[in-house]
Amino acid sequence: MAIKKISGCIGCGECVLSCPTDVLRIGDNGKAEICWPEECQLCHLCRMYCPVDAITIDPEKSIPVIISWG
Amino acid sequence: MPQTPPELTTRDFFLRAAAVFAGFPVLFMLIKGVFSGRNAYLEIFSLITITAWCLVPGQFYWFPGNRFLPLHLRSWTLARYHMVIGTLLVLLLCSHPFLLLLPKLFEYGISPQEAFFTMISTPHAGVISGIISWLLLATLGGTAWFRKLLPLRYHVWRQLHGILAFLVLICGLHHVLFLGRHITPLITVIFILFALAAAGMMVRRWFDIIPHAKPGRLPPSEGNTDRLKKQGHQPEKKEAENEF
Ligand code: SF4
Ligand code: SF4
Repeated sequence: MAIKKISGCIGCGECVLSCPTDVLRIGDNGKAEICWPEECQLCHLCRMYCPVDAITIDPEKSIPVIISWG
Repeated sequence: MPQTPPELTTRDFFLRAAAVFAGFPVLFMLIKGVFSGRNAYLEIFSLITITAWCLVPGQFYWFPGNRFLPLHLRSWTLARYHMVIGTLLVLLLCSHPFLLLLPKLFEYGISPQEAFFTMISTPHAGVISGIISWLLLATLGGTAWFRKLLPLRYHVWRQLHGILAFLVLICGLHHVLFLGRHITPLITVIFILFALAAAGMMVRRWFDIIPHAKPGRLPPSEGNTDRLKKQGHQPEKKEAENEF
């Protein structure tokens, strides 16, 4: 699981929409929750689409972003 | 029997005030290790915002109307300190929603404009109190900087300034407790105690609950006597009172 911590969440749901594998959900408390951690692909999309940078990704569980040449 | 004010230089006071209001909570957070994992910009940004917020209750303490402090410091020194710190706080706290979005200019993902719109349009209690505090804070800063342009008498303006500051404190505290990233139970208690102390200062001032004997002039400290003489200082000359 790439996500280390979710703090300062405003419950906008952007991360839920951006996650390709449906790992996140908005919980009963109106904040993002990790529901299926085993599905996480370490893609960072949830972090990049969070408007308030509430998601912290564990650096040890990150895979480098590969950019193609040419 | 004339009251002898304790020796306290302006520098001493500023250092102690900064240590109590900002140093203590920030140090506690650093010891607890709540800053970890995000990029350096966001961590430094958080640290600055938290320090700014910690200084807000202090503004209720170091204002010239506090009748205790003029026993140690001159009203004008206090007023200047209150103005400088107040200006910094308004600028920092009003710019913090925008500074939070700055990294989004340089990375792939949500655009800063989209992030801003999402942020202010989310119906979350912490966001709403944040927007209200932002508006109150901007009004507080605006009415303080342009006081001379307002058609208000000084005493009316001072009351308005106090009420606005009080509302900023309440709404800001709500925002901090709901959305603060570094909030732990102990930090919550510290923030609430600071806010209660600030509110107590305010209420005491408004209703004059514990009236102090208004101190006379401060006797010039030994180091300052020569300087004051050189400047032709007249001890009997009346100083402008509490107005800033
Ligand atoms: S890192 Fe990717 S897969 Fe994992 S939770 Fe975030 S968006 Fe979903
Ligand atoms: S995108 Fe960020 S603020 Fe919005 S629900 Fe997800 S974690 Fe919370």
